[in-house]
Amino acid sequence: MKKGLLIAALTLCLTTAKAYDYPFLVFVNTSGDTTALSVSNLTLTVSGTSLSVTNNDGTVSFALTDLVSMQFSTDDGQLAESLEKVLNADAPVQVYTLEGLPLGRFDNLLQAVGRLEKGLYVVSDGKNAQKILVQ
Amino acid sequence: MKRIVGLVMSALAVSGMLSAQTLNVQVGNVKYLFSASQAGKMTYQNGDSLFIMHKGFALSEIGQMYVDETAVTDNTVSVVFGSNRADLTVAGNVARYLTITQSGAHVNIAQSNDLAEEITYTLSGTSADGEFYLSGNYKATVELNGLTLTNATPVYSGAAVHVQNSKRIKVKVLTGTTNTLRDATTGSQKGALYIKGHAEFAQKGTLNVYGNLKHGIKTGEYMTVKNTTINVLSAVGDGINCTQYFLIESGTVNIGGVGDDGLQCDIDDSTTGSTGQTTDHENEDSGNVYIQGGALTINVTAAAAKGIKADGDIIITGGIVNATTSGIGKWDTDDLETKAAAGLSSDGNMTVSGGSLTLVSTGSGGKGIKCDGALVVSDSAIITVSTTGGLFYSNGSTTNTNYTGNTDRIDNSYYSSPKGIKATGPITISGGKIIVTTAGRNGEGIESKSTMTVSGGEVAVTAYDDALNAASHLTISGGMVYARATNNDGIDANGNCYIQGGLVYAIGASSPEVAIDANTEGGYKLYVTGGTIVAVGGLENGASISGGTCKQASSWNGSTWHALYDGGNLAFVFQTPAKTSSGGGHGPGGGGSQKLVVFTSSTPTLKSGVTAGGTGIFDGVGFYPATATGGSSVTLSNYSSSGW
Repeated sequence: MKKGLLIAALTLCLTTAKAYDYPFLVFVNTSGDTTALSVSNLTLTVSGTSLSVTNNDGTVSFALTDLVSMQFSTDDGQLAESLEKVLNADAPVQVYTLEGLPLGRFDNLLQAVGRLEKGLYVVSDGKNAQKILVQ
Repeated sequence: MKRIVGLVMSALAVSGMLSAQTLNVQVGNVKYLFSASQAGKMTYQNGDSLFIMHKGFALSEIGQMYVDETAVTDNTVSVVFGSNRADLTVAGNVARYLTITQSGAHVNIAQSNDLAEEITYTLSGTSADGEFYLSGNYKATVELNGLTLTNATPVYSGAAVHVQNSKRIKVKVLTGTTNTLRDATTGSQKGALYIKGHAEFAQKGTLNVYGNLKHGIKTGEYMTVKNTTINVLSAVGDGINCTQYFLIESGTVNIGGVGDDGLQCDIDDSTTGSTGQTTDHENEDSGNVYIQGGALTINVTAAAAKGIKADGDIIITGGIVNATTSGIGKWDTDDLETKAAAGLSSDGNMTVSGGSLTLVSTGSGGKGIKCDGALVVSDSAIITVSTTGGLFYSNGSTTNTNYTGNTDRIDNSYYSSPKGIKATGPITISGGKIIVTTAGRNGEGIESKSTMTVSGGEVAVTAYDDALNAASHLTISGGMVYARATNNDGIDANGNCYIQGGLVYAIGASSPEVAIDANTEGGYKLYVTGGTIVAVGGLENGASISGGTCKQASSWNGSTWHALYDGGNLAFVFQTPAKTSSGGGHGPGGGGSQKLVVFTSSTPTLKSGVTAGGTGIFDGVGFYPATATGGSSVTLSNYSSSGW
């Protein structure tokens, strides 16, 4: 199953071309709802108790007290949720080679990816492990 | 560009022309840059704060946030100074560790103790009233990228750049840039550029420094220079003041307009004392100055100021040093003795095995080299010293910059003599080239308060007083020595004097001075056992001569080229000194009656009026190896060691 997904991913890599690594900024509110906004010309403005987010698509406002988090994403909102189903995105992670040799510990998965060379790795947050391809 | 393709997220990966996203968070004049790949989950708390990569922001203080494609380099902070402001850009990965405060163009950055990665601070721009103050407990790099900064009204420190970290601070003066720092005229700063830790200067840019309150550059620990051009154009105190040790590998250091020493290196822990030189300078606190390359040009004018002053040793293996001092001596109220200027001054030993030193001292009592330990000159060292100041006298209330009294009758705390090279310890010369001239009263050329040994190299001294003087034994076993004194002995040992080899051309003043002297009165003796000797003014009475033949010429012509042969082989060609109407060219009268004594390993013969050639030595009065044509024989008679 995993192998199949990877093949599918690589296929998409060849056929998909977008302008950004992280084309979305995904907001999560206290109810767990997510709102993904394109980062194209995106500005965030705090005004009183609200946050106004403006991009090429328009402006969306959030009540600050309702906001829990925001996170860059490669998709329109599913990524973060999907990721968190496997790994805690905020947890420190340990990175291994496919042979099981430890390569280092990082503050979170994204930091690890930012520092890893291209290649296949196994990432663990202490509870779950995930094989990732950095390219 | 890197992306993650996880087995969950892989289907969403992208390819093609990729651009990074960066969240810019502007707080005041500080912009924090968070890379999308690193930012992770950014959390809002209580509707009033936002945390990004553990950096907390009060939402009310955020001026703006936006996403663009600005590249972020981890571990960097840039500060661009303007007339009344400074704009900072901080890499998101280190934002959590920094507390930044500002007042106009005065910037204060405090690193937290949790910081475990080195940050590079790049400073640029121009401000007539600003400063950069950094504190923390971790090493850092400060890049000067075309910075012109004057601290007119101190806020955090009076220095233009002040780094309080007691760690290794790399100061990169970026290649191709010119940077200028001026500190305030008030405050408590120790330098226009102050680094509490150890400073390592690098890259090929230019740094101009004006020290308006104390030193130009002050480091609390060691300082090294590689490639950088440092110009200390003025300072109230020293041009550069550091502790532990100073090392220049390459680059250029120019110091002038200072109120004290040019470069001073102290032992940091005076209680523990010097560690001496350590392997790779690890934990070294020696007060040593190492000159391995580069060029130092230092011009100091203050009373008793030193061009380079080391608490420890001075070790020169390469490079160029030009040090000029013009200050007179002064009375030291702490030590209750006179102090005088010197081009190089070490409280410890001094070793010169390479490089080229040109030391000029024009002030009263000023010296070229003052070494409180042992002095060793070897290999390819070239040392040229000139002192022209008079004898300095002071007893704390009366000062005379050209004292002419007899110093034998006064305590030596009350005067400083304008010597070329003075070492308290032994002097050993095994190579290199040393040229010394002194013109002032008591101006000995090269003096050791211990022993002196010459086994190689070339030494050429023209001195007012003894050209070479050793308080103990003096030995010449090799090399080439020219020692001319205009008012005393050419070579003077207060112990035994041994001439065992080498080429010696010594000229003493008129009687009772001699060309080569030993302390006969003290029970010592001159021993000649080898070498080639020309002695104008004769030898000390009772000399022991063996291993060759000694002859004397009772008549000789002044300012004339002579050829000395050893058993028929040309050994040396030299020019005799001029004779004056008073009877001698080498002292106050009597020179005309001076005898010319020669010694070679076989039988010496002498020709006068030769046409000389060959390799010039002895500052123009000798050739060796030499050629000689023409001339007429000089009558030589057997030398008697019973004296003259």
